[in-house]
Amino acid sequence: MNIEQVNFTPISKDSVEFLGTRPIPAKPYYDPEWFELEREAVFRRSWQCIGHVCELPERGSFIRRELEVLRASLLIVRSSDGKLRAFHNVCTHRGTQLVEEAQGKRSRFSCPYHMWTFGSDGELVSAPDFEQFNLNKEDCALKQVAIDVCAGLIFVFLGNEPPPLREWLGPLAEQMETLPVARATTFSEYCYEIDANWKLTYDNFQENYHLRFIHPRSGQSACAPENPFGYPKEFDFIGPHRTQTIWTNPNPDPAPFLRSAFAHLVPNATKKGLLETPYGRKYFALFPSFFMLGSPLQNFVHIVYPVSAEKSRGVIRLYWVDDDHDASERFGREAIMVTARDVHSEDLDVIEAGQRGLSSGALTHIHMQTQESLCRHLFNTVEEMVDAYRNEATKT
Amino acid sequence: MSAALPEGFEELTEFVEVWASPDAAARDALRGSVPAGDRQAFYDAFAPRLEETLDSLDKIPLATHDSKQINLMRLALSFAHIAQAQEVQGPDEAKHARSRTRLPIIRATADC
Repeated sequence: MNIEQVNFTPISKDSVEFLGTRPIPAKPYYDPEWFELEREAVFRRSWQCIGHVCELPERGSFIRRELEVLRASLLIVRSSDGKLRAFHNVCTHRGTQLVEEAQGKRSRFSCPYHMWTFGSDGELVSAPDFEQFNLNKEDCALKQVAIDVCAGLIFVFLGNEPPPLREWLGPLAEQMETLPVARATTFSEYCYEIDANWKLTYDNFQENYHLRFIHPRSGQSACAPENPFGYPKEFDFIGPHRTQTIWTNPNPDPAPFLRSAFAHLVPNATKKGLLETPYGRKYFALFPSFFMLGSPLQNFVHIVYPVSAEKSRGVIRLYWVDDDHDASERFGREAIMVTARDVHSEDLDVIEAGQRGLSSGALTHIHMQTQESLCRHLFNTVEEMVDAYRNEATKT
Repeated sequence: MSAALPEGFEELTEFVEVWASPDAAARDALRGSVPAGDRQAFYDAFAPRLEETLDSLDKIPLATHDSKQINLMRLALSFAHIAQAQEVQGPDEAKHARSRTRLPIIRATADC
């Protein structure tokens, strides 16, 4: 095929040579034993995003979040001193889960089993007949989990010795803080469950090779004769994280309603200074399973949460600054959500088809080309962490 | 709520009963359940009135919309869903509908 190269130079093989070119072993994409290693080696040793500060606007606001990969239920609370704290959603008496609601507002959390009651700072406030225990209340506080915030996003770390979040994110922290998400007060959300490994699911969203085949209509504006696959124009690799800069089609042809939606979002976004970020074309892929598109008019976050070796769930949010200001903004936000969701929905079946193929054991290896280098980087990083964990376990 | 619309938009009244849905999940469900011909009829009637609708509603703060203005706003929001079907998915809409049900809408700003 003779493709005219105008205004686009694909990322070169040389620039990603450091990632290697080997075939990637298939087993880690379906093997339950490998998944067991990933729980500890990857997820207990990484910061994971579980929400946004706008969900906890007042003292006593709380959210409950499940991290299946670490078999953890977490309670994130804005305490009475205004600080955010994260606790295991587990009564320190005999382990009963404290809270069933997904979110709410409370000053006390009482265990339904024996009514041990905790304050929003996690301290044990009261317990019936407590003198029957040989315990001090100070020793019975809820078990805390490390928590930190960057760009309004709440991250937790469930392992020992968490590195400082900003240090772990490196230069991406400052970049993300220029985006609407850092000032967001509300969001739209949709979610999914998928019969697929978290890496296979995540990889789908970090390569554009599939775009024109799986999204022939919804992805049309991202492709053009000079860039028929809609490939990104730049990759960047920062420690375990990576980014891609999305190519700007000089002659996009969006659907009329979508053109209208964007046009109606621009005036308020301009007034709020949201269009000034230099990272609006950047796609942030934070290790292990977080994405964010920087686009100020569709600043979406997509997190793939592993459930088992062959099951995951995804949560996608579009973050917005301030409630809908007027009818135009309300229409624009709904339209952007509709179109983003259509694109995401088109991916699920083919990801599951990939999982069934891999789980059959037919392949010992899979292959990744230059334009799938972000997938290769993810696997290399996971493999390094699993190897390190195995070596430590062997030594001990 | 009555099916009335603001002055100047009366010709769209016949669409209110079906399309003036209160939340995004319901609007999405309509996209999947309403027969293609009815979807097309709503699209054809509303597309030329979209800009006029938004211009008109933008003059009134959202929190003070009366029942007629709420109806009109809801038609515009349903149009966002239907336009995606008509303008983007086209002949693939029926095939696409099943995949879409796998991503339930949990929350939208218009619902808050």
